[in-house]
Amino acid sequence: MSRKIFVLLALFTLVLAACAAPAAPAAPAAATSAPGAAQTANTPANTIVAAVPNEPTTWDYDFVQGDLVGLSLVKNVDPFLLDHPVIDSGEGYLTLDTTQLVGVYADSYTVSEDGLTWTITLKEGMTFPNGEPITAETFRAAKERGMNFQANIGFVYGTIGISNIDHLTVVDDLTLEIKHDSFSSLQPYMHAIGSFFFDPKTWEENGSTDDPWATDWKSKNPGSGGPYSVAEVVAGQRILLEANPNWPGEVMNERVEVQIVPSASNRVLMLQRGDVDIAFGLGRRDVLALEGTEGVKVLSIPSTDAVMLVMNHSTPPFDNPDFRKAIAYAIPYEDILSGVYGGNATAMKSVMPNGMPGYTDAHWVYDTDTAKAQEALAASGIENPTIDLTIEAGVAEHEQIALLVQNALSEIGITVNIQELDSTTIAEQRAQRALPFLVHQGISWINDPEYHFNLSLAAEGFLNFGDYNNPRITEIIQESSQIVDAAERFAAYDEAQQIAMEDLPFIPLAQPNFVVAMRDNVQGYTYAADQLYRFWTMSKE
Amino acid sequence: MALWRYALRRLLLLVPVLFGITLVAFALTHIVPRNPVYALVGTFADQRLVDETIKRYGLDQPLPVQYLRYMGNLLQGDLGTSIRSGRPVIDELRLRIPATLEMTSLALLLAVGVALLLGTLAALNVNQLPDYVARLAALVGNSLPEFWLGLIFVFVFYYQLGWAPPPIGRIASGVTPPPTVTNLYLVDALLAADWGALRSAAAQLALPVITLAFIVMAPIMRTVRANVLEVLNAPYVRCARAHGLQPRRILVSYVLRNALLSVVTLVAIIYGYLLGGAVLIEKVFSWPGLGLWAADAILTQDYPVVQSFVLLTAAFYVVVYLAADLVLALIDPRIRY
Repeated sequence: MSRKIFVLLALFTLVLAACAAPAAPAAPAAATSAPGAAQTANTPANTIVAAVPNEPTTWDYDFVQGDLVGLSLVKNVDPFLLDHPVIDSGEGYLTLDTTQLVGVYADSYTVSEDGLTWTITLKEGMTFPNGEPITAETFRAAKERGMNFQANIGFVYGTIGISNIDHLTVVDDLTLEIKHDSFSSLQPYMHAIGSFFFDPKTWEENGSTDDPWATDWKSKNPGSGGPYSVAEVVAGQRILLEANPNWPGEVMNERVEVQIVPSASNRVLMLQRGDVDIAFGLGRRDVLALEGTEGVKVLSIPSTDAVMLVMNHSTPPFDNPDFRKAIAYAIPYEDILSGVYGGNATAMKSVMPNGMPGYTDAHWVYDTDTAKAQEALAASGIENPTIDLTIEAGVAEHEQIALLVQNALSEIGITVNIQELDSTTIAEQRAQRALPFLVHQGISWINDPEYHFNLSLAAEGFLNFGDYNNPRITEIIQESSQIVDAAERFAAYDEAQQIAMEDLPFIPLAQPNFVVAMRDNVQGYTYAADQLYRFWTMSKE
Repeated sequence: MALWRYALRRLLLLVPVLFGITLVAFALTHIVPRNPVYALVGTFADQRLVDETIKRYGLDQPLPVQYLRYMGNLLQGDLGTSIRSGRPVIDELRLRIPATLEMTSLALLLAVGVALLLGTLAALNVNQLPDYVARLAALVGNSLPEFWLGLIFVFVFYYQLGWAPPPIGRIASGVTPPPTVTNLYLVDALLAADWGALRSAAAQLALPVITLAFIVMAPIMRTVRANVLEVLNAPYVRCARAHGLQPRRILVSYVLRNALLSVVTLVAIIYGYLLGGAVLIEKVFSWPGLGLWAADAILTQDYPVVQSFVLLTAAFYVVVYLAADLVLALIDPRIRY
């Protein structure tokens, strides 16, 4: 065989081998548009086009965590029994009335006098899109799956005294009874969050010996029965949602096209050109820079998202109360509010966020005062300290805050070294309570002091990164959890705030507004503490 | 050695090479003292969930045990499951390899074509206008960061002029991807005679391909220019001219054929690099390719994905270099293996 022919044949074989890779998995449903349909410059009136920064990491509601896109999508495609009603805030956006609970696939619910038993009655005749009936057993079976793994639902139910699946009893086809080990004022919130479910046929048909709950299949395949069904997935590029005609609520649009656009600057350009209706995951500065842009509106919504300086009470010199107070007096709070957040933030003057029921600033004494800061530092007995301040890499506002803190503390004689860590490393070290001093930002999905204190200030709270421990705070949490009257319960946290402001488990800095940019014809954006995208309330003029 | 035996020997050598790569990749990914499960369970997960997830992925086992389990699965064709997404790595690869190959192959073809043309023109017109234009293009291509160039192209051609479609990946909104055969959209659209998908895929490819081609063209053009200049002054070329051969024949059969030898090697190196090196272009153009996927996996310590990506890149390099050697053998009859 001639050399040339052999070489050409060999090259041809290599190219064929590369092209003949096994076919990619098929998309879950047929596309709704005909092949070859051209894209229009502006989005269709009945379709919300949203640009998001990443594709969902999983479609499994039991396991999705730390991924706002994934959490939002499962919220839109998986069904749920209960929810908080949507109300008009009067400020150009909708919000949730978290003091109320309404049925979605549930017709009604009752709570026993002792608060230990919830009886939920489902609506009659409800089915999944494939025709499978939705019954009380459907819900119980779905919760059995989640509780088997102690996944998301394990945590949610665990906080309200539901420790295993035996707490859920099917009374009849449409009636479910849920028993709690003890009363908790968090029950309505947790039942709203935990009332999602799936079709048990999912794991009956797709499970295996090694994977009886079909975790592998479920991670790749979206659920159904929610406000939307997933009509098309073009992997890594877009997800098309079609309104579910059997959804027992109202969906204000016909479809949603979720475009995956990793580059934030491209999301901005596409929003400005009108090729998307709403752009998520933009940096604060990008969003605020869009104010005044023709065709675009920016919502800036006060939130309970809290930015704080956490100090580890087990690590010197932060175990010294006067040292902590010295730092608190030195912080330039106004510069942070105006310089870092451009006024798009609320002052936070307690260990609870402003806007949480029971919040009071009556115990705040730490207005910026360099003289008091120096006095407190002298009282601490610590001379010329050098401390490390940890921030999460890639968060521009935290970097700016760190620089302001570094500068302010240097004026009273404290040297600050700033260290940046990636999100995964910071999460691990934070959980181990190994970071002595850090900028931390977080929002409670439940706008309730018991939830907030339990997680962030109770000794064993898993968000208590400062290793703070005050027995009286723990007592107050336990006592107040048994108070049924809401006003009385919230008032009980006044003493807790007073104690905590004296102890300073962390220094509250600011509550940045939630900001989002969208086309000015988009209506019905719903803001909630979880910041999930609730597409079903959105429409276009 | 007969050429086919040489090609076979090179392919067989892939096995020990890949074995060594798995050891290195495994060691390097596991050396970093960071727990990857936080990427899966979220940064606020409670310790019990973290511990259960660690156990579920076998990360509590000693490293040698983890490596042996990984190799056992690998030998059965199982590249593992992504810690972040919970999906089999092989499924992700099937989607992402064609996306990257399509974009980078077209970019390289364009770059080589333009580089050959410009480089040759520059060499034939040393210190004249074509030479200055070519050298300037190379300087710009070498100097500009590819992500910056991509963003500028998007801003100018999409946002300002409206000539390019939105940077939303491989196919436009409202257009269904062609039926999957190779998952190369242009090829699959042609096979299915789906002209709408073909037009859309080509339109989406245009800007990322041009951006990438602009960057990789620069070093190739400079090499072509330098090689052509050197060969133009070679004795055999002067002899060919003296014998009265047509200038075109001299250029093609004598000059280019000899100038291309090191260019082929350079193109092979660039092609191997592009497999994972186009991550920034993929991010700018929302391209669901290998680079972006691997970069995310590195940041989140997604071991199975990182290890698979390193393995794939190594295998790709070996195959590309083999192809380059075969092409060299085709061009230069003096080469014997």
